Amino acid sequence: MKRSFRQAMAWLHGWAGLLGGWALFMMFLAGTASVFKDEITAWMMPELPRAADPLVALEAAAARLGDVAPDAERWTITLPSERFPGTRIAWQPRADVTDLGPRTRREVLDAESGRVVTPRETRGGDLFYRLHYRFEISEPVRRGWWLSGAATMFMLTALATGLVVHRRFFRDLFTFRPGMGRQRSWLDAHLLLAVSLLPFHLAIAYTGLVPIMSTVMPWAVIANYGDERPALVQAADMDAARSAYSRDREDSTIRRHRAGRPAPLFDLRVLAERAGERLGGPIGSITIRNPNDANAVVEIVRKPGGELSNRPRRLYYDGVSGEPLAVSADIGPVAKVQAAMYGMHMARFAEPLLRWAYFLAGLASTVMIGAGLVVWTLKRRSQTERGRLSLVERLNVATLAGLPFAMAAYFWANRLLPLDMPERAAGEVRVFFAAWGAVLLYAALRPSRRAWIETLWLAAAAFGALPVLNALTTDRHLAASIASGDWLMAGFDLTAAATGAAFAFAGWRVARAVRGAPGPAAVHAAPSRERVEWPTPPS
Amino acid sequence: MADAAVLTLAFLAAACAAFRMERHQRSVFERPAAAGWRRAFGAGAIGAAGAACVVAVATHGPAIGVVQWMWVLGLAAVAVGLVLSYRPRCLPWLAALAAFAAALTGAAA
Repeated sequence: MKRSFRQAMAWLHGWAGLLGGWALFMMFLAGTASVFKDEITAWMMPELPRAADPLVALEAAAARLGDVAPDAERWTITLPSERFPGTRIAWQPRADVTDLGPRTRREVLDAESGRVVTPRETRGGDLFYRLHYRFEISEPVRRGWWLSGAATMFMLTALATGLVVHRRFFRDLFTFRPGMGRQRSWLDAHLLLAVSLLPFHLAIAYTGLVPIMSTVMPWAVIANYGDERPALVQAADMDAARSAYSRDREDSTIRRHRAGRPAPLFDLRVLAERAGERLGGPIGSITIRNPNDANAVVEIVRKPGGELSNRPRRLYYDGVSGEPLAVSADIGPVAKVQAAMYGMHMARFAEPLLRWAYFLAGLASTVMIGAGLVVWTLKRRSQTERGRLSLVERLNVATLAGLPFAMAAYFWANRLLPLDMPERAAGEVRVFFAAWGAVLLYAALRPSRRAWIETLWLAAAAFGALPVLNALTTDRHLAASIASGDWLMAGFDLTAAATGAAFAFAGWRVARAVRGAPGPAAVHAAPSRERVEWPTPPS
Repeated sequence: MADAAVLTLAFLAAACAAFRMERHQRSVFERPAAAGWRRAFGAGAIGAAGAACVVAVATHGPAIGVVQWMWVLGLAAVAVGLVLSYRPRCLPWLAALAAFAAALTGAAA
């Protein structure tokens, strides 16, 4: 049978969307949560004190590092911000003075007093971040990058073919008819979110390849930094080539060898004030190489903001005299484009309004993918007997409703697991995966409509009760947060409550639809205005 | 203030774009609008979207400004779509409110 171009594209759209859909739903949901990665981590460490003046925090942090690691190889101080209230310090001990080897040590400090804070052990928002770009695969990390790269290709394929399938999308712009039968409504929702935010979907999917490009498109790196082996062999194992490439890109960093002569460190607060003026914005972090040595170098990095680039502007100072040091070479134009695309994807620069815009647009992408998956099953439910769809339906329940529920379970574990539990952070992650697996099992055993409704209600309850749980287990409840203007804690509690309300609404609508329309008849009853010939699943 | 102007202008632009379409004219005004009105809504949509872009770029520079403008415009289109499906009659009032707020915040910025 000869098919038209659009029919062929519709076939590809359906299958690319279905096969990539579950992974993409997870990537987009986890990526959307990662927009507030630091804020989530802060909520999951309720022991952290409130933020303080960054310059005071800097002096306190330098004092602490001077006590604990006066002759380290390197100090790094990340100043407190409105996104994370504590000061984060890290130091790398010198290889020759410690038998532990040059392992980086980290501490969180009370910004004002410089006292060491020991927050509960948690991975915080980092779990969602790792889930987003490498499916929480740590060994070998490249496998996770390959998977997310492959899923991204499914996304780009679905976007391109979707444009062909719904070529008259401008005619349907702004159209969403919630009462027009389930299939039509879900398709409307899919189209409304897809078309309105098309630039976002395209830009985020495309720039998502940039951070992993030396893995998924390794040829340029291999051509310039590779060895004698065949290119395909190197592509599978290119750690050496990639680290040579990374070293080359870091060339603009000033490094000096240790002189071995002790010398007092210049006043960091004065340097920070000078740098703040020249950088045209607040300071985010400070790195000191060879502290308390005659060859000390202070690197002052601007807080992300004011530019797209993922490599914020930085200045270098001699750590003893306080004189500015010239940066050797600027990065090339291609590297600048790469940094801008990388930065646009990561959104580290985003001020509150833009950060929320990223969050909401990411949520819209997530819902668009979910709606597409639902349309796939509804379309076929009207054409075939239901039994053949049960695998897809069950995976839909486990992903679309089960994954958000598992995220809520992760937050519950953060508040409820004993604080002195060994490997507590890993325990929280185990609760996340156990909750997800439990929903998958549940969806496999229950009739799919009941599973839909019950899992949506479960997610609604788990998110809606989070502010209550927070109030019961910490002294930083919602009323206290709002009263003291702590929008970090209050923002999380309010977002959790709103998420719970959204799931309750979804559960109520699905329950009503199931009561009102017990069979596929309702789908047929809806006037179909879409003139696309949808493919039938291969038998 | 400038950010509020971008938000309200984007909503106004999306609402005008919806008013320009016959299908939505029927649900909002109960009948199709005259050709003159259609042209006016089209011009309003382009004007408001352009103004939002100018304000965003003037506030945040070309790179971040354009990113903010595109994302906010897309979200405004989703918001207009939701208003049209649940409370279509409210859209003209919300658009007027957005125009008023845009004028206020734009002047303040």
